[in-house]
Amino acid sequence: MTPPGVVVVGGSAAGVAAAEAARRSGFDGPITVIGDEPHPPYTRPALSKALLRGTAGAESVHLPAPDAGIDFHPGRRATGLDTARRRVLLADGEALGYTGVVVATGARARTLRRGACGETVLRSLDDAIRLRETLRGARSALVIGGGFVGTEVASACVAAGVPTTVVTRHALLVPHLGPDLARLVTREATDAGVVLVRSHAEMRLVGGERVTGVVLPDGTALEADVVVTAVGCLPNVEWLRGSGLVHHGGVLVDERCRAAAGVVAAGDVARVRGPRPARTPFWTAALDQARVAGEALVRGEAAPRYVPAPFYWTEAFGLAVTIAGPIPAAGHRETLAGSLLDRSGLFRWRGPGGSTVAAVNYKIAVRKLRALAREGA
Amino acid sequence: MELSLHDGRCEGYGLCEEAAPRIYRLPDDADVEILHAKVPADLETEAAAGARVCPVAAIQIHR
Repeated sequence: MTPPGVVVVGGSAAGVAAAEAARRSGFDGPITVIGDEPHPPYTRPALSKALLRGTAGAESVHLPAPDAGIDFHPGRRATGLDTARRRVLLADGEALGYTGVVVATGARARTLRRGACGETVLRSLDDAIRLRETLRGARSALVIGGGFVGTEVASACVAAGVPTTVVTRHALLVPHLGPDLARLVTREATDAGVVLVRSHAEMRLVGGERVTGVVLPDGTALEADVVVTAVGCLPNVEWLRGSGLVHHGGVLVDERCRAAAGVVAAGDVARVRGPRPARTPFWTAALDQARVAGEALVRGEAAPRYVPAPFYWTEAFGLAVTIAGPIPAAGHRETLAGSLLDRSGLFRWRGPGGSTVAAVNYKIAVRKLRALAREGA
Repeated sequence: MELSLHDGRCEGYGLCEEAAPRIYRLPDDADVEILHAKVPADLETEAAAGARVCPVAAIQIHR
């Protein structure tokens, strides 16, 4: 039996990045990564884009394999964390002792029914492959939710030639991108034939083993061959019950991603302490946190602090948008290049939380996008 | 360690360059440039971190 070392619970991009950061920081004992999905680490943001549109195959989302010095175990699920005895309990009955543990169990799609009964969501690689298959031959699609995933799924449905309705509280992406960019995305979506139905209250799903439609609070009934629920995500913290690490639905961590002695957390499951502790379930936040968490597990106070550096992107309805800075983009808009009307250019907003820069169908490296945001501060 | 690009996948985000500026460089109007196709031993972890942050998994690592 190997002596206890670092155990990473979560086999996604953040889990593997944390493992490599621990190694890079000088930890020379065994490092084990376990993940409940059967796949090697892959890029989740790509699922709702090229993969779902069918322009790329499943193999296109796979990230480089973990370093040879990291023991990677896909298809194994953690069921408990015993912080007193420093053990991770697994569904298959095994217990892994640790000197340090990384909690990187991520999040799952939020659903409208308890247990997601009959609902179709897009969160995992398997979800994406299944949905892509379902869209072939579908005559209509209904997407519940107008956030990043809902908008990108609707775009893929339209690209597949499937007439699509989106039920959404706001216009598409308003709380995410701010009014200017949201208006642009919404216009392109409706031009592409998407029907937007606004609904502010909870709706009722129709159908048993498979959801076939919704009934809105005003009695409107909508039906479709494919109904996708895209209403955000919930952190995977149930396995931590009794550990004392979960606060307001996330693992509360300090500015070095430490949750307790010998426990760090990173990615969609983590809430970083600050004026407004919140989960930030986005790619770069997860990877930045993972690097800090892995290093802090080894070097403690000597590790650098996590400094949020917001960066987001989306692709839908012929628009590729990348954003540096706080979202939603708010305040006065300044055009640095191109024009919003022409659906291409660089734009900057000065909002209360700082300056935000967006590139629309405009190729620019994140380094330069951030520099433009700093200049505008 | 050697690095290569999957054809046609780079979308020019530049997160690799930000994570590992000694390995990757993103010109304005082209795909990312790999500055060391054969990675010097002391830059291997940096190179891997840069490959791992690519949101379209464009960078391949050969060990």
